[in-house]
Amino acid sequence: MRKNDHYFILACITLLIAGIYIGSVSRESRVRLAVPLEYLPQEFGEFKGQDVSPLRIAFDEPTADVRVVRVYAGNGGNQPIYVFVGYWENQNEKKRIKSPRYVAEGWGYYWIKTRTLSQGSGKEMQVKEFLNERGDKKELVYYCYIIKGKIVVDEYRSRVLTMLNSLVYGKNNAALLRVALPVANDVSLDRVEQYGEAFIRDFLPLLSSHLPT
Amino acid sequence: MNAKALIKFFVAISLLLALYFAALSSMVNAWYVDKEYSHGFLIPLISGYLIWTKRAVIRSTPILPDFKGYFILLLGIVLLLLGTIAFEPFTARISFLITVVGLVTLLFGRRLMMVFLFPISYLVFMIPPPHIVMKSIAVGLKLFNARVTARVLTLLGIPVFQEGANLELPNASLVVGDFCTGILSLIAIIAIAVLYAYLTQKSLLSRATLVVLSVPIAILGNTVRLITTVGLTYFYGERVLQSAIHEFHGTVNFLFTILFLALAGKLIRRIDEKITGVTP
Repeated sequence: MRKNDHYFILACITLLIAGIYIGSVSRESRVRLAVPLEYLPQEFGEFKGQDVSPLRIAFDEPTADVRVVRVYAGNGGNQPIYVFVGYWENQNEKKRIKSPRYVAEGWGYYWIKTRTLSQGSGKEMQVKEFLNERGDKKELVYYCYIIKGKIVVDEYRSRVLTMLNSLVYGKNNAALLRVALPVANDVSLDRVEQYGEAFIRDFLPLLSSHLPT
Repeated sequence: MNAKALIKFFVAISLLLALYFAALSSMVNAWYVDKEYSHGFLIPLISGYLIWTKRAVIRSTPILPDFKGYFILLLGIVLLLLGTIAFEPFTARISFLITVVGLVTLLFGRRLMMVFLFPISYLVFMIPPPHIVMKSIAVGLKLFNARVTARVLTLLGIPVFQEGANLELPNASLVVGDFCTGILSLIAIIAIAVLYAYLTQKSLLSRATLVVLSVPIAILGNTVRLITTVGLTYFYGERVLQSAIHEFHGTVNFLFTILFLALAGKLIRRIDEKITGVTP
């Protein structure tokens, strides 16, 4: 047989084997929550919260398998904290986490940064922060992804991690936390930041205990 | 290229299409469902046309199968595997082009692959970019467009206040939406620029220059559209936004952008000919 015939047969066999293998591995594997999200404490530390409709917070991810939308407030009472937690048992082309950076029509932001928050005893966590604006409305938004027990703030890194988990473990479950605090004109941004970060420091470990590792 | 080689190639392509059926069918669905990707229907036709124009060269190029193509084929298949398992449609679709390159190199050799290289590479424009990339660009473009529009209109004496993507006129409030950023037409304009550059420019430098220039031309064209829309709204009120003017403004603007691109192409070609001293 000539070289071309050999290569042709090799190519056909390779394509056939690839088709059979890829067909067998591309199965979705769902991972349930360790503890249902509705059991996330409505009261902890100085904060008290209640479930609300996603319309109240102008943010929703309807493709999440489980989602919790709440408004919390601290002892001061005047600064509401809008919280969205979404959990995807698995993801596919039609059902996947979209970044909160890609804000609703009419909203926009000039800066986005990564904040490192200390949890005490040397532990630190990172979240992404941006000031979302529309006309005279402003909200300070924090968000992060939680993938296999790890807090991830970079969108590309979260994609790579999801891909690696799919390959190695056959699972691509993940969670998204979004925390938004309205910023009134007569309140300094620093004060809102301090308040938001204090909330996240307490809330994130509570959320992590509900998620599978 | 003889009939037997062609038959073998078509058998291999059929297996390839079967392997990529899920990735390609979802892509075609995206062309159908999303207006911004509807140009995807034209890209394979253009690619096919480009191959057809090279038929004499293809017939006269000897077939020299190259085993190195197998490694490229394997790379494409690995990317397909990654893209499928991780539900990353962009990775899966891009791998199709790599697998085709590998298959052609393996069965027909590098010389013939170089003839097919541009038509196959051009197929990249049929692949919808990742949502994350599109949105990142749209967010940046929104603010840029809003700022430039506000500055130009202020210089022209029209009172406009810009805050983020919002433009406040005395008689109307406007928002620069994702649709207004021109992101929808940017990819189509770049695809046209690449084809135009390939067909009309002789040197790699002049081709690259024209393609790079297409981006600011497209952005400028869209900004002019925004300035005109906001200006007309100031003079005639919000009814401009519901009128046929706003509806077709985008199309007219797109055509003007293509015209500017063509003019830029002619200019670059003249400069290139003067520098190289070569005229057709």
